[in-house]
Amino acid sequence: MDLLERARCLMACPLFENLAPAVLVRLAERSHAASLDRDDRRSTADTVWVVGRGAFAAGNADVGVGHAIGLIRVVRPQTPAIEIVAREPGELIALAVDDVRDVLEEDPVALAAIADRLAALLLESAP
Amino acid sequence: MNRRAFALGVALVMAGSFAAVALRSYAEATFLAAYGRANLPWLLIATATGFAAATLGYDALTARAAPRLVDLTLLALLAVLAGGAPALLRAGISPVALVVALTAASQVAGLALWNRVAASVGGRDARRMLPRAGAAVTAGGAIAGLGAAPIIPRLGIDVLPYASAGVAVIVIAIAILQERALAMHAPGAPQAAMAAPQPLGTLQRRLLATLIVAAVLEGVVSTAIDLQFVANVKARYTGDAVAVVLALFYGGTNAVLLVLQLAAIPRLLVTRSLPFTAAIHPLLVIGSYAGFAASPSFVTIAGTRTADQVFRLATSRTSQELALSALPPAPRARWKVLLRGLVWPAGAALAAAVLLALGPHAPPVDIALAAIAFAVAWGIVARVAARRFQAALGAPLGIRGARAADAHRIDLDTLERWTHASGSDDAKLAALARAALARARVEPSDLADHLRHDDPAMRAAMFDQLARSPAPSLRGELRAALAIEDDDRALALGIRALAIAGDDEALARAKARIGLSREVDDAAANAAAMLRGDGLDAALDRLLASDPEWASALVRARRGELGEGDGEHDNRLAARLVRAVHDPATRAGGLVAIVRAAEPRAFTALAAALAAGDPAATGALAEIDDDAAERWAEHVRESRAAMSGSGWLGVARALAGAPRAGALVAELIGDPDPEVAHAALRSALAIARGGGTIPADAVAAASDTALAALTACLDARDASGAWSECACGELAIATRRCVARVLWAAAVAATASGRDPAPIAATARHLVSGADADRKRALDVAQELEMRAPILAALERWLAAGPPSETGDATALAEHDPWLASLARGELAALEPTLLALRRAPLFGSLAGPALAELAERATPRAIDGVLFASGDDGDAMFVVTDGALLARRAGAEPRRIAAGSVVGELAVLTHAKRAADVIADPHARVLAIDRGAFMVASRRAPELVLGLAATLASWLASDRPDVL
Repeated sequence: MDLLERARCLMACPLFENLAPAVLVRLAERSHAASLDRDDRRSTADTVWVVGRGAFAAGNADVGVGHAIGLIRVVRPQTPAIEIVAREPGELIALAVDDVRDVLEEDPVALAAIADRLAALLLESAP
Repeated sequence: MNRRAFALGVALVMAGSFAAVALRSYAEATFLAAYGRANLPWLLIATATGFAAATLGYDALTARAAPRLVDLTLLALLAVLAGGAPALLRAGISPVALVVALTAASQVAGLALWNRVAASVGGRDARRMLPRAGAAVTAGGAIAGLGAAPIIPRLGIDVLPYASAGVAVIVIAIAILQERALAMHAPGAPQAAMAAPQPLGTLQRRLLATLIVAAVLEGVVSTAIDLQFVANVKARYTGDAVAVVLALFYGGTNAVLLVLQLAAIPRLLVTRSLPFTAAIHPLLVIGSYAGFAASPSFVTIAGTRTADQVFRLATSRTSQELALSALPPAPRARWKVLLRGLVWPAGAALAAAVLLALGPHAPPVDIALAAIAFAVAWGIVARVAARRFQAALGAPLGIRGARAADAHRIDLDTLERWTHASGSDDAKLAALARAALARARVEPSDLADHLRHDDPAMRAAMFDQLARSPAPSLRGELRAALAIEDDDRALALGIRALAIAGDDEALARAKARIGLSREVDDAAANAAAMLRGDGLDAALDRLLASDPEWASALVRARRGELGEGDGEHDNRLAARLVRAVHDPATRAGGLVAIVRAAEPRAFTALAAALAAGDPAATGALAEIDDDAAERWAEHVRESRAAMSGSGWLGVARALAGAPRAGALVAELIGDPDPEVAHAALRSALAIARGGGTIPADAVAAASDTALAALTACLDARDASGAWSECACGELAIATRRCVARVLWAAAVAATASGRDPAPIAATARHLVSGADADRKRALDVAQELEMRAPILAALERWLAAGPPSETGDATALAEHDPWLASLARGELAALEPTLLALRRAPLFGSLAGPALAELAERATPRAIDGVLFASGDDGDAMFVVTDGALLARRAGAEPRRIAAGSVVGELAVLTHAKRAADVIADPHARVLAIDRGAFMVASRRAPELVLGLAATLASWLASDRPDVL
């Protein structure tokens, strides 16, 4: 997966929807792709995982393409880490938590975009 | 550091060393008397094997019984064995068995005692103090050696074991006292830590494996040197002269070692990285041994032996000690004993056996060359071990090693794919591809060979890249390629590239091809506008909306950079760009054109957009190129005095997304305003991580400024005994921000030397906001990342805070942080209660003081009695509870108590949403109301506020949306 493909995967993530292309590319620069076989496991201890291909279980939820797992630890480090299990062979984009935090701290506009998106998701999910 | 336990530990190892040297002298004399000098190599093999066997036994015993009991039993055994040695010999015991037993017991006791002194110091104290404990070992040995010489002729050789036995008894007493001192400092900790099973991780196992290999190789090399040295001594001297020479040699090496251990090594261990320290001994041995191989003589082998003896203890042992500090306490103590008592002697015994088999007539140069080969391998392995130590040290903090790959260079296939994607119908993908291309480092000269590629799409991609960055040197290649270009799109882009390269012939070529397609016609028209000024106004208006990059090239050309320009025309262009910024249809294009053309007369409009956080403005800055960055830097130098802080803050922050804005950001990283310098250094770090460069002299100046500011804060901390609580708190925050600046500057400087700045950036994060234990580890990581000694000293001083006095000198603070200095003088006393109240909320915990003060001035204190707001109300303010408590009630949820220091109502401020809960106040509750406008102004100045809010929102979402969180 080259830089542009990784950036496309990140763009498919709802939480990154408001980010400017340049920010997505900067995030993609600091990411790498990881291929997983069925039942392979990864932890969100120090990495944010974005699903590029395949189906996974994250905690008690099923996650698929475009879902980001572990992002909450970027803004709230005390959140417990969870484990991701591949239900089928797939590919994840790995972003170090520190790298995501760096990009957000470097770029107030990106930070505001994430906050806006979080707020929108919160309002969407409100009863 | 447990000072009493350390002092007792030093006495322990000194006395232990005295006993060990005295017993070794007695053992060697006994062996020589029984077997003669010719069998000395066998003594070496026998004692090494005995040492290894005793170490194994000690290891097995400490795994089953409490180490303190094993140690005391071992010391008691040593005392009995030493005291009874003369009697045992007279009773007919085998001399070699006695010699091996005495030597092995005293050496293992030495290792056990060393672990005791090491248990009394930790962290950076250990780096400073353990070499001094090593000096005590050296001194103990010297006293024993020097003292024995005059005493033996008068009292006989048997005085040595008797004295050793007496000293061993004293050591037992000191060991018991030291144990109590350790227990008083941390009851139960030392023994519990040593006894608890602690499995090793992958990195630690890999580190240990390399340490084992390094110890074996070191043992091999050291033994080869030792035997060759002894052989040279014997060949050169005879009779008593041999003993005199050896005594002088040992005295000299110990004197050098003592000086190093007392003076140089402690400093080395707190200022240099382990790969540096660990390489010293192998390199010196290789160098001096090579000298011997080239010119075999007593002097060269004596020099080699001196280097080996001194630096084995001075740097290799200390490096090993440091490397083992990455292991948990129990395996650390165990492997320290095994490496020194089993692994190293195994290597030594192996080498001695091989040399014995080769016999006395083996060519010394061949032996030296073989040993040098081993030494080279040892040096490499020692360095690998040091690198693995660095990885193991940083791993718990999530700090990774450097990444070597350059992600910013792309190959032609990638260029083609991305260029295709940039023309995609999917607007988002196209924008992403353009951003990726803008970020990629494509050198124009790399493209020249491919301008006649078979695939027209590929040629178009090349021309497009050349149209992004002017390359006058490629005019010839461009003209030749365009002369045979038959694809309309490629031709249009080629004309554009030639025009941007300032080639007037582009116009002639463009005019000659008009009528081929609309694309070519447009390119020709725009080239004419760029190079001749024909129809410039109309072209500019059209392009500002449709193709800002092309528009900026036109502006740049008209400003005289590539074509002819005149003052009146320039002013008209600048005014047109400013107007474009105020027109929503052309705002984005206008901002891009201002940025790329570096139009200084439009800077105010750009700065205002940046200060307001306009995404179009920050997006425009992301497209700045080297030329524009240089021009902006020049403008900043000239106009800095006229700009307000917030304008510069906006510029400094926005530059983070511009990987080629190094020249511009370099003008801001040394800014006297701490907030601007802070934001600019953050941006500089982002630029450095994106592959950009910042001028080294600017980084060095910014680093010095940040370090001076940190020192001023630390001086102020020492003198803050009479400061108010608010001023002390603000000083602590300002100091943390200075620490971040110092480390960010170091990270940016690291890129100049080809290193990855990411590990330093991660270290900065842990130092500034980590837990106490993480900070100490991060400081060690900072040292391993080759941070400058003054920076390490300042960081260590920061972490070792002592009680403040009322008499220190804090005058330097005013120069580096005028706001804080005025707060310390009590000039902002009226604001202090509000500042303190806001700081209680984690949301405002890390804001720069002046930013918080601005917010505090806009916050409104309110007494609340009853309902603060009701569900469904419009919300335009958030509230910080300063006294009492609030209660939030929401349908279907448990009521939530909101205590003093908490924030409520922030979602409405961020989203304009209606209130989601009823919030009722205690009778005496007080809040600070912060309206949306005030919060937005503050969040533009301090983006950490938004991060804090995002954390709150994320925590609310987490339970419902695991798919995105």
